[in-house]
Amino acid sequence: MTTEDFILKAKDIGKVVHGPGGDLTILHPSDVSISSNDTVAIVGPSGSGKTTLLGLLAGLDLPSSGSVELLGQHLNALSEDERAALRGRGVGFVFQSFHLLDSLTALENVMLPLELAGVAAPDTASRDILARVGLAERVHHYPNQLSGGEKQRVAIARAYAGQPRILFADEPTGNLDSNTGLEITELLFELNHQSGTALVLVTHDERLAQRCRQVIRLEAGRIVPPASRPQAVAGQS
Amino acid sequence: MKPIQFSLRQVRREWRSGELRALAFALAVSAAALTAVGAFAERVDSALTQGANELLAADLVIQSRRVPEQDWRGEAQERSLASARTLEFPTVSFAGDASLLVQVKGVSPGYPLRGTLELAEAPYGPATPALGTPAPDEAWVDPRVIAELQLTMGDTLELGDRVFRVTRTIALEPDAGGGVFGLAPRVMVDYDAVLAAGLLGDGARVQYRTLIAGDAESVSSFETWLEDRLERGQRIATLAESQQQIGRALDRARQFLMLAALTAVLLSGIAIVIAVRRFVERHLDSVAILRCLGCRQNQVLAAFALILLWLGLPAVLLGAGAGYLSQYLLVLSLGDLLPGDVPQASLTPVLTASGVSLLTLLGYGLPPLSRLRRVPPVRVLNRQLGTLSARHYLGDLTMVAFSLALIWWLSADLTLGAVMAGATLGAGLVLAAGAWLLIRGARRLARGRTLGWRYGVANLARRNRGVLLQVAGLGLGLTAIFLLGVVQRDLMSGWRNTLPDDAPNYFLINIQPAQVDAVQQQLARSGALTQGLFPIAVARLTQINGLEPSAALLDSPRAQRRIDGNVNISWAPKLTAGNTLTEGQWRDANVPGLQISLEQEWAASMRLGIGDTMAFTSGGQTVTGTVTSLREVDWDSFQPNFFISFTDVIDANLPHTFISSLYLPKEQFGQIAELVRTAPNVSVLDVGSILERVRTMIDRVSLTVQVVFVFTLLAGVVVLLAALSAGLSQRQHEGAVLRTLGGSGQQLRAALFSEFALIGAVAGVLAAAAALGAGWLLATEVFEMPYNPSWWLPAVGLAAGGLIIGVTGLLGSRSVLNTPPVVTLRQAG
Repeated sequence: MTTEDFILKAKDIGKVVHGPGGDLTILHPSDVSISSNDTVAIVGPSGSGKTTLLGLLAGLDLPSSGSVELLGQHLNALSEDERAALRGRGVGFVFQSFHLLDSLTALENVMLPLELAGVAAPDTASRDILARVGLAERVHHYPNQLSGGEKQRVAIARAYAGQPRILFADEPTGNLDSNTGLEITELLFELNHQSGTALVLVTHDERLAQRCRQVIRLEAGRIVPPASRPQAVAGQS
Repeated sequence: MKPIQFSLRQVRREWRSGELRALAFALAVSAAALTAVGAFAERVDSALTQGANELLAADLVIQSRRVPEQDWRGEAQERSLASARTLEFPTVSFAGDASLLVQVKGVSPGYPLRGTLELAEAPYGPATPALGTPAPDEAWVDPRVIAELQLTMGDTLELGDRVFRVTRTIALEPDAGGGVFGLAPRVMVDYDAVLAAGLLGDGARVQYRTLIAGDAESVSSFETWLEDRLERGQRIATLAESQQQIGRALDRARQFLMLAALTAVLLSGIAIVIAVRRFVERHLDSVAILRCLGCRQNQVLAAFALILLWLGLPAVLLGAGAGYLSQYLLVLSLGDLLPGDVPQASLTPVLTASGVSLLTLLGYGLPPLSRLRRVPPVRVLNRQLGTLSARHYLGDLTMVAFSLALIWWLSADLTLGAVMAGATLGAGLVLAAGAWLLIRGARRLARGRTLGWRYGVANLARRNRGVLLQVAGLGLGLTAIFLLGVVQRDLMSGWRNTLPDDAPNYFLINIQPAQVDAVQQQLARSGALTQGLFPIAVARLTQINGLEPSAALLDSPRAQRRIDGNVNISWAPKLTAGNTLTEGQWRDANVPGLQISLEQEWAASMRLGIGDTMAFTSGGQTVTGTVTSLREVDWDSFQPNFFISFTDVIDANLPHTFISSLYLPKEQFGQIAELVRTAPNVSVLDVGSILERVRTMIDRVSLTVQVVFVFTLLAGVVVLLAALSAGLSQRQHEGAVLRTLGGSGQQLRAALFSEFALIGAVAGVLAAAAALGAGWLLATEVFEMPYNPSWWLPAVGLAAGGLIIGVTGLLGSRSVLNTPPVVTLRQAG
């Protein structure tokens, strides 16, 4: 695999926060590389630094040390607004708690990233993708009129609406029952397959992790090398 | 994202979801208050100015002791101004064998330009407004002329070479108060007729006046044009000069109204800050998502600022419209309390109020809103990572600077502006300090006692910045409300008291030295309240520091004009009531010869000070003295007061008379008539009617000010409500947690009441103290009147603040008690 194939390369990224009791290292310097079409699971116990790593990879936060190259751009060299523009162009997000705008309908929530990107006639594209996630009948419903699974479908539709090259999902099934979780997982991988988007998941769900080509396992802020991984997982990858 | 589209779409939902209704309401109230205050003040102001100008019979008067060389009326006419002329002098009039000293007034057609001359068919008969001026052979006279010359209506009287037929008696003459001293009963005749009567030879003491009236702008530009062209001996009589009392009443009225307007603006500013802070806090998550989806910082700010603007615009316009309508109804309902013709309000107040309200929205809304720019997108993953820094001094400083600019601009009066700014800053600091102490002491206060109290009070310690804001917001709202109370109770009554009910209502003038004993005895018998008799000599100022006044005042033509002609001087062995020394000593043992005390403003206008010598000449006698003191004169006292007073009885045989002022109930006028019978040359001047007009004016102004304050009060209430609702969602969440953990409704209510009551008590007591301080500042620095602070106010503030805020807070937090915990928790999740 050549460097050009990677759409995300993180080198020595670490995160230290300054607290009343002194500096606290949340993430020790780590390397991560993700290629196009890749599926990556970030797993680990609570407090191990999964969400922190996701935030850094997605450019939602900047590392205390090291550098991230996302879609060919060095995030450290970009301003807040330039990072926002980069996200608008090629990055999608799905969150555990959905993070839909309560005051917008399902359709309007999906249209939002298209409008932000200045796409003409965002309405049609958004209806299409809502139909693809099975919500053709619920386009005019507000988030508080939707079930948890439906909300997450809207969130996924929103994430894919902008045809991102990489999608970050923070425990996308964490708030859902197992059946609904399964449906959502299927949907994510299906869309990943159809659109050729790289998928980066933070999850507690081992079954979900096992479906990914690459698994990044975190413990106390460190990436555990593949050699020390449990056999079952190593065998899968 | 296109911010305009986004904001337009959002604003409908914001409105539907009710989030910004409070903000719109605050804005509408402030715009309504501003418009109402502005339009109402404009109308009342011009009505009052007009009413006061009635006492001048014009908007502007040019007066002189000589026949004017130039007729200003031509210029006035070119400027579309109305004009008229009068001349006035004392002379003896004859009717058969009887004779009487009268004050003749010649008036040209058009007189009076302002106010109404009222006439009666017979002495003291029913009065009707005069239609025109006296015909060339007609005389309209004071009823006293009829009585003293024993005339009947239609008889004739002689003035100089001419004979006039008495056809009417004068019931009310608008500018009669123009020259109080030396007034004999009035005989009013045609201007040209009196010129032809051959009475105006050398030495006649004639006062010529040219009256001008028209719209304010033309009058003002005419006045500017005139200033440099005045002839020697001519001067412009202004309201303040000729009617000190009325002039001061008007100034105070303007200041009171301005105070109300300013308070309303500041209150709306506070309401906006609180509302926008809530708006911002509610939208942190949405903004984080938008940022996450690629929205730029300025797009976020623009979109949300536009939401405020779309919501603010109609609110402001509706408010301004409502304000305009309400002032209209207000003026209508005040009816005849306002002088006859209340001019319509222009659209200026609506435009100004709308502009100022929108500016206020931006000035107070943008600094807290700009926090949205800095919402980190990582907040979508972890709310803790996305909290904003608690302090943002730049935003706070911007708002303080904006408030000061607003105060400075709106007050257009540096002293009032400085006092308001000082009071606002001071109150803010005091409240912040109080809130800090409350937060610090809360944990100690929370010990022991019931669970509700413990939890409620401990909340104060936890929420520190929120409590700080709440105490400051509530406190400033309460300060404004208390200040209105202070102004209403202490200042307004102080103002009214400057004119006590027993203020003199009669002046006795032209009492000869030989009659002093007789008059004093008669006064003592009548039981009249009087300060005694004051000598008055009419003299020429002949020397200043050994030089001719014209030479001594070479560099000040204005001062030269002022002393051209005669001045009134008096003398008294000691300082009389209503006078206060401001510089020097009444009698300085180190200064030889006679000593003089000057009224300070007169001295300043004449550029005279301690140590200057002045010489006065009258009837061939000259007296010289050295200025040893300056005095401040209480013109409100309506007592005889003098610019120039010698500090000891003058030995020289200077021709002089005595004057006195006295109070006697109107129905006892017979006592005065008795006195005049024993001393027929003494003239009685009824100032009671002038006083009556002044009192009516003060009452009228007080009422309008109170009405205007109602709007300010409303703005204060909006602030209180806004401050109370701040932090509601946090309380709801905590309440839900408490309920989930088994807390009873009773305990929750106790906790909420304790928290709000403590905040209210602290805000109340500090607000009362701040209001007293501001009242004192206003009384001493702006209104210059005595101040009797209501010391009990802080106690009331403590109790009322605690109770009212406690109960209102509890009522306002009903949703904390009524919403099922599961609903709240689900929403928070």
